[in-house]
Amino acid sequence: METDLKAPARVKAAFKAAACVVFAVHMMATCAQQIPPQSALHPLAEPFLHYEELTGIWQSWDMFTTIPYLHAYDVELDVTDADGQTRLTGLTLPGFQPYDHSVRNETFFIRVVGDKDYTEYLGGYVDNLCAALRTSTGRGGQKLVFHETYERLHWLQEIQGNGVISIHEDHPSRTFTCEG
Amino acid sequence: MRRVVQFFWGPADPRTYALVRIFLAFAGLVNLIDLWPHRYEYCAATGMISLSIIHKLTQGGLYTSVFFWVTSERGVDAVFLVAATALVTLGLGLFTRASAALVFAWHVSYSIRAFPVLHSWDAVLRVYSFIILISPSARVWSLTHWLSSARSTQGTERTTSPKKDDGDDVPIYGVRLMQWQLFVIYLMTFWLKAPDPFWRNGQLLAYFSVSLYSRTPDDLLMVRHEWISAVTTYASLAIEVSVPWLLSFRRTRAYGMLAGFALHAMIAATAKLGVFSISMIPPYMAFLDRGNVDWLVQRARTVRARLGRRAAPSGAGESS
Repeated sequence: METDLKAPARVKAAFKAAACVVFAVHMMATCAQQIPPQSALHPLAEPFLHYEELTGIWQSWDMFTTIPYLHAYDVELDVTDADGQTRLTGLTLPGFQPYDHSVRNETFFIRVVGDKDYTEYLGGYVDNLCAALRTSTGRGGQKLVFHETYERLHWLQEIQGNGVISIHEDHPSRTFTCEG
Repeated sequence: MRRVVQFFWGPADPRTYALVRIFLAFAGLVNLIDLWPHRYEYCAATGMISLSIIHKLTQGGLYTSVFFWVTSERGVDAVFLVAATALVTLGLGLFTRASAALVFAWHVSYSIRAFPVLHSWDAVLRVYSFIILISPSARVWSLTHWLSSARSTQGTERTTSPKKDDGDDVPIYGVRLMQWQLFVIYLMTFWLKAPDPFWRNGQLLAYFSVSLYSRTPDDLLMVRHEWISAVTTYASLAIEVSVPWLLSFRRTRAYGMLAGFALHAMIAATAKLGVFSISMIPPYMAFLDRGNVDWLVQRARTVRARLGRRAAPSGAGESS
């Protein structure tokens, strides 16, 4: 009888010990992914990758690690049809709505249109733009150019000197061609 | 080994879990409302993020998202509405485990589908959703507990509800994981910021105040009075590096709470990052122990009693 009572307790203790190992792995996974890729210790992070993917605990805390560079940002889409007609249009899909300056869209366009790390997302976005143009106009072959406008911040000493916060810069992208 | 087991399986106040759950649900709902106008832009096939690119970039990983299967605008509406309902029921403590599972699935799903627009608060919500999912469900402050209590009082419920152990201690492992996560957030942030020359010379917040992230980008106060920028820049760093430690000890916990909330209130007031500040509340709740929660409950009762006393004479006046 005594043995019967102790058996579940042993199982419970073993379960708790095993769970402690899982918790420790979770804590290590939280830390290991913070090791920079350039570090010689980075291979230590690899065993935890699938655990992070499965549990959704992938993370990075590199927020505002240096100064922001922009005072304001805007972006428009220049569409040239196959017959040579050009028009500026909104570039938010669906519906070719104009850029709304929301934090999320600001992040999207600054990253996808302006950041080389997001080149593949830009390719997918251009494909979606072309598909939407084909749907709305019934034809393809358009040429697309993104026109980014930066108000780039001056250095602090310059702003203190003359009160001018930023300098205007136009950044047209390369031309993307939709399939005909 | 016994110490390790005690570290993870020792007792915790269930109200600590309940507070994290309630604030996480609230923050998640605020975030969802913020995302709602952009739902088709980021999650539908008609939007700006190509699903085939997401598939390509996540190939080989154990990533999954409900938006891999739901691509139509009506479908995206439905997912958002289900997620909103799950966040509400999680906050209320109704079908808590199922709600926590749906909330976790929601945070993982949009994080993978809308990867290019993610911010730090998305990671906070996603990580804490997972920990809440595996933590004790803590019925103590929940609609389930309240409803069963009410039924029991009326004598219409069997003796099993409300569960007599709803207020009993629960295992502390979830709290430990949440506390650990907050350490990682703040210490990594400090680690990455500290070497930067603008954080070091105290000019960072002056630049930030005139940037596109500021609520008042044309206001030159911090630029003209650079000492304000220096003080607040250094204070931000000092708070980030010290808050997890301050929160860890009962004696200093109140200072940690005050410092952390001051930092995030300042961010919410000056930057267009209000969702971030709200999302940082749940992690703090994980540091409250039984004594702290008792104190909060006592304060709430006192405030309610005072409000009740004030309301009583005016109510009497109206009826006469």
